[in-house]
Amino acid sequence: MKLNNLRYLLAFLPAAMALQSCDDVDTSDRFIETAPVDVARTVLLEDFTGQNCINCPAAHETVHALVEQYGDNIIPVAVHSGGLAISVDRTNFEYNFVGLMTEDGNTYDKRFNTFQTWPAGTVNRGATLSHSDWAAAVRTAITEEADLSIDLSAKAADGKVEIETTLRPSANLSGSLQLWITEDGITARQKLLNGTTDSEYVHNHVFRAAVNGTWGEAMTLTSGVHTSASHSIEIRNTDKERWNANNLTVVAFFYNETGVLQAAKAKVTATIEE
Amino acid sequence: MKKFYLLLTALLVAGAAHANLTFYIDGKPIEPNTTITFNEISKEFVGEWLVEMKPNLSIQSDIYTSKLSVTATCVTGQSIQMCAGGACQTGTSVKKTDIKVSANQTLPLEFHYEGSFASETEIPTDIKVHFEAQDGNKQNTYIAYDLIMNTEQASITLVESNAKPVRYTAAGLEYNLDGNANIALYDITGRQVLNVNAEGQGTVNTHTLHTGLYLYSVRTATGAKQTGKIYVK
Repeated sequence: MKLNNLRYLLAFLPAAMALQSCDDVDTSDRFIETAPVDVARTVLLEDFTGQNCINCPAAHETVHALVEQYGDNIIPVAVHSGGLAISVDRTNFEYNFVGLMTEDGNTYDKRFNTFQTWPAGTVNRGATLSHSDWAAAVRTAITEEADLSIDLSAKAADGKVEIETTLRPSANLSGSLQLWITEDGITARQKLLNGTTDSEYVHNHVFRAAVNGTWGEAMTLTSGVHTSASHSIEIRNTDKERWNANNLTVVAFFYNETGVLQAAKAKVTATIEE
Repeated sequence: MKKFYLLLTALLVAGAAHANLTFYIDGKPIEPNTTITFNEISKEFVGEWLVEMKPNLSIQSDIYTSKLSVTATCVTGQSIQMCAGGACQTGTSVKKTDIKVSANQTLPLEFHYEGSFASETEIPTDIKVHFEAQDGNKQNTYIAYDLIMNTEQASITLVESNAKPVRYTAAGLEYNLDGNANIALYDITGRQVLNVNAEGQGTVNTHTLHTGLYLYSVRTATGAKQTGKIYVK
């Protein structure tokens, strides 16, 4: 082999081998500075999660960071679902064993968690995303103008949550109004990344029930015409579920096949003493 | 033209390099196409029996790859879980694909089995899982082995409802109790071979016992009772 040809070979081989051994820097480890965002609406973040899912606490941390950043303009809901969740039907308060997965939560998971892995989530019922992609999706969604605003109030009285909703559209819209009950501060077990179980883990934004049916109620809204609705749901206190009225929140959102058009939340004003 | 062929040859050589994959349990390499047994079980009674087995499994590649795939299939039909650094999957067969690993980086598979049973007699004896791994579609990198998780011949950790265990180790029967309790041990004929009153933390010496299967019973001062099996080695 001529010397020049050998030089070419020797020059390219190390380059090819060097490309093989480059470390891949995960996207979450790269620092990207972003400009402040102009908030135009409220965003719904559904976090499909499970008490036996060891990587789910990391997603809970992501939710916490997003709430810190966007405050009331983001509404997270932890939907316990799938094979790594514990059903409410397995709850045994005598042994301090509390399950958080509901039938409706499972239904939403099967419909919107196209990954069928956990954790996973959607922003405004868009594409399923891993939790490392939630921040970018929220940042984009929160700047999109909405053609609807929602006024919401909720109070607890006589063992029930009473809800008043007013929809104010600025365009003709068709879709469904969905009302949910969520609860904060639920102490229940959660598996952690190191494989241990934290029996005193505090779960927040937990989906508890759909107030007006699994898929809400269909509505046609006319631009400029306000639509009001009243609903109520019993505060559950059974051998399987015990809601704390002081920690309940009502989540309302209007959605159609394009996704969630607007969302709102209202803390339940409790008149019941603990 | 010669230069072109030289460049092409160099690239082909580089591209043909493939990963050598190795499975590990507790940091020890597993020979391909072998069957290994895992015996550590955790049992907790919460109104039903929760059974968990968490072997410390991992995998390593000797070169960087972004196409590692790992499949775990429970041959005996139980539902298993594997996360392998990403979102967790569950089912009788779980597969993680396009996993990135650096050269000689150990990737924990984050694998475990958890089941719930109304009674202890329903707990399956052997749970067999078949593991496979491959670098992309390079069939010459394929490795596999079988894992049998045995729930009877086990070093058992019994988790009480307040999460405090009684477990058998090389030191003997270790206990960690709330208050007083009576610990009794029976051989397979039902003969009581050990009976001690214990409190707090400690170890019961089992070195005089013959190798074999024993049943234990822990009865607390409040009358609560927990039972299980240990295999004294």
